[in-house]
Amino acid sequence: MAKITIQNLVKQYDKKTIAVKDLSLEIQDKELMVLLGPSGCGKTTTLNCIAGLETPTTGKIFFDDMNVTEVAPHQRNVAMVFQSCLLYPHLTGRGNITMSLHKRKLGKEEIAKRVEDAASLVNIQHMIDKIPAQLSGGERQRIAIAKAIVRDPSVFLMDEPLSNLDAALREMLRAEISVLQKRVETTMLLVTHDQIEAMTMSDKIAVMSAGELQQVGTPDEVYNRPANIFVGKFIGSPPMHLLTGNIKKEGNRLMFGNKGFTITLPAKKYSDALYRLQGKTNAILGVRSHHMSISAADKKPNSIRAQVYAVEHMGKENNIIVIDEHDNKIKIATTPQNPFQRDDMVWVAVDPENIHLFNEETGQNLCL
Amino acid sequence: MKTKTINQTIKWLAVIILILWTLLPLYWGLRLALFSQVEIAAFPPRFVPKNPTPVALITILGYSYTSPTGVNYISAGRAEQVVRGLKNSLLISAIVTLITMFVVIPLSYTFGRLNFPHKKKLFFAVLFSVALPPISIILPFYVLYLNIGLAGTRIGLIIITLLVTVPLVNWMMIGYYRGLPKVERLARVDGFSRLGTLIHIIIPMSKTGIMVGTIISFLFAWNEFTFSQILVNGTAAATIPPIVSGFLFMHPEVPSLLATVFYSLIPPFVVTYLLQRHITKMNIVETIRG
Repeated sequence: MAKITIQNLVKQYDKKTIAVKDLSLEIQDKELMVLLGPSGCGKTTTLNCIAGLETPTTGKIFFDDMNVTEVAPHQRNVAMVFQSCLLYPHLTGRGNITMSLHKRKLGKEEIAKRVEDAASLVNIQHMIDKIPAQLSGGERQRIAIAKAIVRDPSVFLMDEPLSNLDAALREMLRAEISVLQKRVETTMLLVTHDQIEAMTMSDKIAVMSAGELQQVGTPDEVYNRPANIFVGKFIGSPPMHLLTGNIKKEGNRLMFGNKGFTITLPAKKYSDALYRLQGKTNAILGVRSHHMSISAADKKPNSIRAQVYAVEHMGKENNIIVIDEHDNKIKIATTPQNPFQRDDMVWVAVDPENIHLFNEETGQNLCL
Repeated sequence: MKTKTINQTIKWLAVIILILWTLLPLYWGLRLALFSQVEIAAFPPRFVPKNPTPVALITILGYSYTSPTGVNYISAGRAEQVVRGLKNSLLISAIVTLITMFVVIPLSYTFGRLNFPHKKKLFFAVLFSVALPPISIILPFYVLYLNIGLAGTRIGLIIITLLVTVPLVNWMMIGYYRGLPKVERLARVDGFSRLGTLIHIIIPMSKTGIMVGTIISFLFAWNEFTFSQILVNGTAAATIPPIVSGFLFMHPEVPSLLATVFYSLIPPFVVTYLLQRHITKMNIVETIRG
């Protein structure tokens, strides 16, 4: 149980490869933070630095008030669950779990008791005496989690713990891990590239890209108020649609548009958007597919002219893919009862309350 | 269904051919050890000795033997040489194997799993020494050994045999270690030092590879002929392979020759038998992906 503070962490492997660029992050005690980013964005390197498996080039890492930057992994009392269900293959589940305690001076009975307790927390008592080769991927990952819990760690680190499992199992373990984290009340940092995992499990999400931290916030914040284009596109499925255009002021009304369409912006929310663009007017509009509606009627306000390209039947909803005049493909979620077919000309209405405007050059959200 | 039966038949046929291929020459030779001098000359040659006699097997070890019919056979003339050769072979092979494994386990682990400067060049040095045929280096070693007094000694033979076994087993085990799951990070989180990881985690984990390496090392040391023939044959340090080959020039002693061969097969067979049980038991290690 500890608060983790990372100060200006830099990890450089050689002159060219900088894995992590000046990362500062705070993880509160008993919080489950998910470090989310595409592969190669430096999230695992950050995790390894916190675990002590790698030494930062510069920067400091604190557990509570203790500087652990140079401290060996086991002295930090971290527990780690690795990708690909990594366990000692020659030891039974029990042997694997016990290995976590070998540096502790504990009595045999105490060890046996703690191993039992950890095993029962993840429901693996009945398979604890099998070796990893006799277990399924999910069972192995449970052993790995028990192995981590048994140490009663101050920090719990997980490196893509679910990425090697099949979809059904992943969904089940997702909830189990976050419930477990609340139960053992340990600070947990989980690394993943899967935004659904991040959204469903975390108290807070830290989004990383190319070695830099993009945004830290609750799942709700990063989804509804993305700090920049990267976060907006990376979180949510299907990804946010982006349209380029200009911001114009007409009277007191603020408009966003390009050749084909214009949208009236909520004036209050974007009151200083123009000021933030510093004289330029180029911006990018981001909108999610369920904030758009489709109709065959005549031109409505805030609408884009487009042609239906394909209809995807999903059962509970239909996705309609349309192509606008600029050849952008836009996916729109609709109800299953829609009359549209391929090549129909339609109007796509954008809900102005649920759009995001980004600076075209910097990618920053214009109302944050 | 039909293809299945055909496949099965082919499989069993292959197994039978393989067994015959391996065991028939062995049987053909060893039955000679049980023949009497007279039977060996019989034509057509017999598959099974009519009156099997352990004469050669007993006399070659230096004991005399009286047959049930009352014929007394004294110990074979080469008995002393053979017994000493067997002892030398056993001792030298055991020591060579121990040293080889002691050196090779950390060496191959380092090559297989860790990074260090000039790794590639050093690895090619290992490969190069595997590729060197013994006969190509024997001359300089012979002169060297004569000068420093190692010719005709067991220590000298042990040292030069290590030149064969260490690179070979090292090369073999590098590949094995590369394939093991990457548990080093796990071990570091558990608080093991590098050396601690090797001793407490890697060695128990790589039992299969170590057993295979031990067998290979023992077999190569046991079979080592070139060095032994040139550096120690005819001295008190001679090992069994050159002694067996010495028999080839003594025509009437075919049963003794084959009795010696029989005895020289026992130690590698026992070693292989004892160690291979660990191999099958631990084979599951490889089924886990890293």
